[in-house]
Amino acid sequence: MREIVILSGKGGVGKSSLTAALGSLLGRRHTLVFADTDVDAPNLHLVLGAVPVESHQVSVSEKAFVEPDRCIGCGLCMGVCRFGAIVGESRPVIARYSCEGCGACAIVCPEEAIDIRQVVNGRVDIMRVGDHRMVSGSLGIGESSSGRLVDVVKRMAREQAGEINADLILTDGPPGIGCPVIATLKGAEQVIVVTEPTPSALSDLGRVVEVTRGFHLPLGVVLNRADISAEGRVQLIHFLHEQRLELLAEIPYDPELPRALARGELAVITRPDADSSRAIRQLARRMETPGPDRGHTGQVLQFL
Amino acid sequence: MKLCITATGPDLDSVTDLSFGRAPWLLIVDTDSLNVEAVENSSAAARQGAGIAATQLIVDHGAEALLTGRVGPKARAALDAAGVRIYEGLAREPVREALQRFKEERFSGVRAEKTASTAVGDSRCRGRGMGRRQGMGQGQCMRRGG
Repeated sequence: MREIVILSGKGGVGKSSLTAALGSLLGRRHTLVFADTDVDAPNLHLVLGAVPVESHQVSVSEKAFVEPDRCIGCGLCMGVCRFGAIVGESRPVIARYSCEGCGACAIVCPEEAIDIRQVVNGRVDIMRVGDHRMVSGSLGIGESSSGRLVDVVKRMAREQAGEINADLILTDGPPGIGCPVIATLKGAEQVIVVTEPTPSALSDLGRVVEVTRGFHLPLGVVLNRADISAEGRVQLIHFLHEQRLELLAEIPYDPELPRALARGELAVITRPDADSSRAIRQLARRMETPGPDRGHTGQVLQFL
Repeated sequence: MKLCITATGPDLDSVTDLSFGRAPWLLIVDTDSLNVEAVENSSAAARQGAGIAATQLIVDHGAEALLTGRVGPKARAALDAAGVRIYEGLAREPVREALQRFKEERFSGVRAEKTASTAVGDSRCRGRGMGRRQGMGQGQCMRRGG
């Protein structure tokens, strides 16, 4: 069983669309588990038309709670809180959204009136996509510990993969390079970074490449909307050349693609003859070729 | 023979680029001595006419043949007019390996893969395709050894 993660740095370049398209192609001959670790804004299930099976509340965040009967109002806790999360005049009140659950207040409290408890900070949904499964995490609004929630999503995705004997966990990651991205990369075997030929996407690509390199993971780049800027494409190619990075596919811009998505369709299925569909199919074929894939840059890629 | 290979970098260890007009580097390789002249494609980012400009560039550098992924209709016409032999079907790989395969004559007689931009009249918004250009007798040139 393999684990492939799709990232982008910049949001909105086509991460989920590519995940869905690749998944629908690879899913013809392989059993997959889709994982959505974009816990701030999960939506792969919508693109895939996944059917809910079960939902789990997740408590992987901690917060302080004051026992009013035991509190003597000494104010020591307010003095040690680094997050300004303890307010109130004579009695401490925990500002829920500011509390990081570090526990300093509980340590200094002479009356043991402060408790650090686990709180529900998100949800993990198990869904079905045909014969495949999907695991999707959503962080509660204002909640912290997105990385830990991603850990749970990945753990449950592996459990699901074990249950249905899946060949591949295909993970739709979050944009950016923060906690949920780092948690997403843990345990991955192959990273695909989606980008587009724009200055902002290229800048964000550089950052996500650096993070991925920190994990020593093989990395390939997919250039989406490849033909919207000749200049941007040249800049990207220079960057890939300098970094010795594999260009896995160039997908041309197709205005029908967002239209298909708006209708809840996948263009790779409904418009198989489109240039964009051909490019994605070619990538899926390459990914399906058994054995290690020695990329043209010399690095070994780990697909199926 | 002087063969132009489209590339992402300036040397034989670079990876090939599959487009012609938009390739950042045009490597003019002497297939006998393996001498490489790296020509930066100044028109790679041009808004239009990149294929024709690239044709002019490689002809100026003495290229007699072109090995690339695929050639658009305008560039094809320009290359035909200049008598540059066209080999399509290049894959993403180190230039050195592509050159090796070329020398093994693995590209000879290779016709362009039928791709959507030429096969489908999908030109509503992009103004990109001139439609079907297959069967134009690619690989034939008007004058040789020029």
